[in-house]
Amino acid sequence: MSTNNQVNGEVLVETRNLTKVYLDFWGRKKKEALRALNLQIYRGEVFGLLGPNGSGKTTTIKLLLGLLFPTEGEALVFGRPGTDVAKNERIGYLPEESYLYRFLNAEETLDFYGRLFNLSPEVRKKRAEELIEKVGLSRDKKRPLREYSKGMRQRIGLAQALINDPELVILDEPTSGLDPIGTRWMKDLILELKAQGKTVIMCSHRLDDVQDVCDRIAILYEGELKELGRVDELLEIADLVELRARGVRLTEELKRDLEEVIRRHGGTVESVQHPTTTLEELFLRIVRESQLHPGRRYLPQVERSPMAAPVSAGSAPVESAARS
Amino acid sequence: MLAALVIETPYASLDQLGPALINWLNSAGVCAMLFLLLGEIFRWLWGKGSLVFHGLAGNLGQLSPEEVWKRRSLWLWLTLIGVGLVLALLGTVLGRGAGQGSTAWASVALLGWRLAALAAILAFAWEFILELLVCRARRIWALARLTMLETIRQKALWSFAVLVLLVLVGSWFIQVEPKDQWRTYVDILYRTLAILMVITATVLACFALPNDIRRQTIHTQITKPVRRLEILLGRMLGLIVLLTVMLFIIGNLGFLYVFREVSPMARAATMRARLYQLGELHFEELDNEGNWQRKRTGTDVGDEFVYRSHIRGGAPQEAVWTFYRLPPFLLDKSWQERNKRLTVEFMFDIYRMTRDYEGGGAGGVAVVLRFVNPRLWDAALEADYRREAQELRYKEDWDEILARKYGFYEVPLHIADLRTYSVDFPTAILERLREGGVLQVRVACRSFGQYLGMGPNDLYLVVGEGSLYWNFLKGLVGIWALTVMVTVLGVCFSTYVNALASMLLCWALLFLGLPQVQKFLGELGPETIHRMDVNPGGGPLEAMYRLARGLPMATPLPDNWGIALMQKIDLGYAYLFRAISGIVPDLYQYDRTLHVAEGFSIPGGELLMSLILLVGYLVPYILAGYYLLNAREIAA
Ligand SMILES: Nc1ncnc2c1ncn2[C@@H]1O[C@H](COP(=O)(O)OP(=O)(O)OP(=O)(O)O)[C@@H](O)[C@H]1O
Ligand SMILES: [Mg+2]
Repeated sequence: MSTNNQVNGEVLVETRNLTKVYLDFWGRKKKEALRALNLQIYRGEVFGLLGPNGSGKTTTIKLLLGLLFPTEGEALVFGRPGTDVAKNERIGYLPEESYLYRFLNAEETLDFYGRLFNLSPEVRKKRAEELIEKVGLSRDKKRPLREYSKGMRQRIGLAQALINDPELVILDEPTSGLDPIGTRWMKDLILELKAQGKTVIMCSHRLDDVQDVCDRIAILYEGELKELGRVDELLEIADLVELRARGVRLTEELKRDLEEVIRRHGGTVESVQHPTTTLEELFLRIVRESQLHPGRRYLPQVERSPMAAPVSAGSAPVESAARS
Repeated sequence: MLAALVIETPYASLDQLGPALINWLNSAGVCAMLFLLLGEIFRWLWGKGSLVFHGLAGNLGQLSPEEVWKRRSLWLWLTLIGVGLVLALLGTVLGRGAGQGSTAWASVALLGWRLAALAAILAFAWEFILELLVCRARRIWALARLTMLETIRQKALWSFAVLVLLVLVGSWFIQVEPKDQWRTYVDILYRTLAILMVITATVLACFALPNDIRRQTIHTQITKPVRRLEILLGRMLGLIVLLTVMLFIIGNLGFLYVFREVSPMARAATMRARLYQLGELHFEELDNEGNWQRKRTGTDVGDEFVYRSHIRGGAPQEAVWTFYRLPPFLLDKSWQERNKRLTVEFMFDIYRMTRDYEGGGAGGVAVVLRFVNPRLWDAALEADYRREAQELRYKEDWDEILARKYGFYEVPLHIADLRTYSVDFPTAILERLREGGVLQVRVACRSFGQYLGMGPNDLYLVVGEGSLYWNFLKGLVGIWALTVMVTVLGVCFSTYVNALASMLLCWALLFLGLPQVQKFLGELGPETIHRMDVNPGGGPLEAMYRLARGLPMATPLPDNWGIALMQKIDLGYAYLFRAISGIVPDLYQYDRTLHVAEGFSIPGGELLMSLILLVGYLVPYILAGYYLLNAREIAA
C-alpha cells in the first residue's frame, strides 16, 4: 500500500465544487443534496464514499454518470463531464438496487447490455458466459430476473456492470442484500478488480466492508465532505498502542505487569481489550461532531489534530505507527 | 355501375412534392427561427450565456475537436440566417422601389428567405443531425429488440389483438345486402383496425419511456455508451416493427375471411382493384363572338357546395376533362389491339331550376359526352363527320374508323342525380395520341332548366385492373401510417410529460386531425374568418360581442374603430390558428378505405406522397422529443 498513486497517479475522477440542489417541477428548491464537493480519485485505487442515509452518496455517483446534472461545479470522469456518452465505454455501474429488466433472463440481460458496447458477438458471448459463471448464476441463467432473490439480482447486476471489462467500476452499495458469504465474495471480487488494475468507487454504510477493501475514503454528511484520506492513516492514532497476544488470559496480574512495563517506558495504559470495529467509531464520531458543529467540513490544506477517541486498528498482532 | 369513387378532397400526389417541400421549409423555418430566438432570450435571462456569442467564445483549446467543429458549423448556419434575412429584406425593399415587374428583386428576396429558413432549420437541428451521425444501428436495434421482448412478454399486445378479432368477428353478424358485402366488410375491417391500432400504439408508446424511467431501469441504459437519441429511436423502432407485424397478421386474417365470405354479386360489384386515371377539369363557354372561352368554374348556382361547379342545360357551356397524362401502356399499339374499348365512369350532381321533366325526359337529364383529340378535331369538321357516319353506319367498326380519323367520339345518354355511370369509347381515338395531342372528355347538358354540377374527380378513366390483394395491402399502409404516427408522437411526448398526459395529447391531436374537424378549423383561417357565408358570426371576439349585445348573426356591425380593432384581433387569431394547424396531422391522407371498399386501385404515387408527408410531419416532433429527452435529468 504505497501512497505514490496519490502523488503522481493519474486522476480518473474529479469533482470540482460539485453542488446538487434537487428542484421540483416549478424550479423550487426541494433539497440541497450535495454542497461544493471536491474530490480526486486516482487510477488503480479503491475509493469508498461513506455517509449515513441521505448524505448524498448516490447523488454524487449519479452526477458522475450523467443521470443528474450538476447545479454548480463539475463532475469529471476521464476528464469528460458526466453527460458525455463516450466515456461510458470504459465504465461499469452497479446501481443501488439493481433495477434490471425483469422479463429478461440472466443470459439475455448480459447479451442486451453487451450489445450496447462495441463488442464483437464472440467476445460478447464469451464474456457473458464467464461472468455468469463468476457470479455463480450458471444454474439460474435461464430464469427470468423477476424470479430472482435480492442477492441473485445483485449478482447479475454486478455481472452487467463488468460486461465491458471497464477501467472504472462504480458500485453503489455492492454488499446490500448479500449474506455474509456473499459479502465476503463481493469484497474478494473488488480486491480482484483492484489487482487487475481497475479503479473502483464504491459507496456503502457497511463500514467493515469499506474498511476491508478501500484504499481511501470520503465521509459525507448532509451533502458535505467531512473526512477524506487513506483508510490506514485515518484509523491510526499516533500516541496509542494496541497489543495482542496469544496463549495467555487477561488476568489482573497480567494487566498489572503490562502497566508496569509501560510505565517504565514513560506511558500509561488506557485500556487493554478485545478490538472493536474501528471505522464505526470514526464514523459515529464524525456524525456526532457534525451534528454538534453543522458548519465544519473537511478542508484538505488544514492540518488536522490527532484523534482523541480510543480507536484500535488492524489485524497485525502489534501495530504502531506515528502519524506524520 | 355500382361502384362510386367520390373524391371530393383530392389526395396529395407526387406532383405536389415541390410545393409541399417549400411549404414545409417555410413553416419549419419560421418555427426554427422562433425557437432559436426564444432560446437565445431565455439563455440571456437565466444567465446561461448566449448561443450567438458563446458559440465560438470560450476556450476552444479546452474542447474536444468535435466540439470545436460543432460550434464552428453552428456559427456558419447562424451567419447564413443573417445573410439570408438581409438578402430577403433588401430584395423586398429594392423590389418595391423598382416598382412592378422587378421579378429579379423578388426572386432575390425569395432566395434570401429560403436560404435563411434552411439555415435556421439546420442551426436548430444541428445537434440532432450530428447526433444522428454517431448513432449506431447495432445499439438502436438492441433497444428495439428489448422493447419488442418487453411488449411481447408482458402480453399487453395480445389482449389488444384478441380485442380486434372479437370486434371483427362480432361485426360479421351484421346483415348486409349481398352486393354491398365487400364494401361493408372492408369498411368495418379498416375502421376497426385503424381505431384499435391507434389505441394500442398510443398506449404502448406513451407508457414505454415513462415506465422505464419510473422503474429506474433506464439508469443502467443511460450509463452505457448509449445516446439518448438511440433510446428514442430504439423505442420507436421496436414498437413500429411489432405493430407492423401485428397489423399485417390481423389484416391478412381479415382479408382471408372477407375474401371467402363475400357473395358473387359483391365480387362483381366492388371486390376489384380498378386502375383509374383522373383528368384536369375546366369549363368552356361560347362567347358572343362565337369563340370558346376557357373558365375555371362554370355557372354559380349559389349552392353551398364549393367542390362542384355547374353547367347550364341547353346553353353553350361545357365541362372539359383533359387527360394530360395517361398510363404509357394505353398508347401501346398491341394493348390497343387487344382492348378495343376503354371505360369512363362519372357521377354528376343535378340541380333542377325547374320541375320540367318533359324537357329533361322522364328518364333523367340528357347529357352528351364527347371524346375528343383537339389536335385532330375541330367543330368545323362536324358536318363531314356526320356525313361519313351516315355512309359507314352499316360497318361494324364505323366508330373506330371515325375515331381514328377525326379524333372524335360522341355518346348521348340520360342520367339521374348522383349515380355512377360508365360509358365505353373506342381506344382507336388513343392511337394517334402518339403523334401528339391529348384526350379530352367534354360534357354538355341538353336539358333546359337543369344544371349539372361536377367536380374535378367526378369523371375518370378506368384503365385496367390491379391486384386485389396488393390493393388491400396498400389500404393497410394507410392504417400503418397512422400507427407509425401515433407511435412516434406518443414516444416523443412521453419524453417530457407523463404517460397519461402524452396519451391525451396524442388523442387530442388525432381528433383535431379528423377531416371533419380539419374542415371546421380551415374555416377559421385568415382568408375566411370574416366571410359572411363561411363564418356568419365572425371571429371569436366578434361572436362574443354579438352574443353580449344580443345581435343576430347577420346584422351589420357599427362602423367605428373599436369594431375595427376587434376584427383585427380576430384576424390575428385566424393567423394563429393557421400557424398552429401545422402541428395537427391531416388524417384524411391516410384513410384509403374508400378506394379498397369501392374497388379502385390506390395510386402508388399518392401512397408514397402520404408517407413523405408523414415524414415531414413527424421530423419536428422527433427533434423536439430528442431535445427534451436530452435536457431531462433522468434520475431527478
Ligand atoms: N429525486 C430526488 N428528488 C428530491 N430529493 C432527492 C432525490 N433523490 C435524492 N434526494 C435527496 O437527496 C439527499 C441525498 O440522497 P442520496 O440518495 O444521495 O443519499 P445516499 O447517501 O445515497 O443515501 P442512502 O445511504 O440511503 O442510499 C436525500 O436527502 C434525498 O432525500
Ligand atoms: Mg444511496
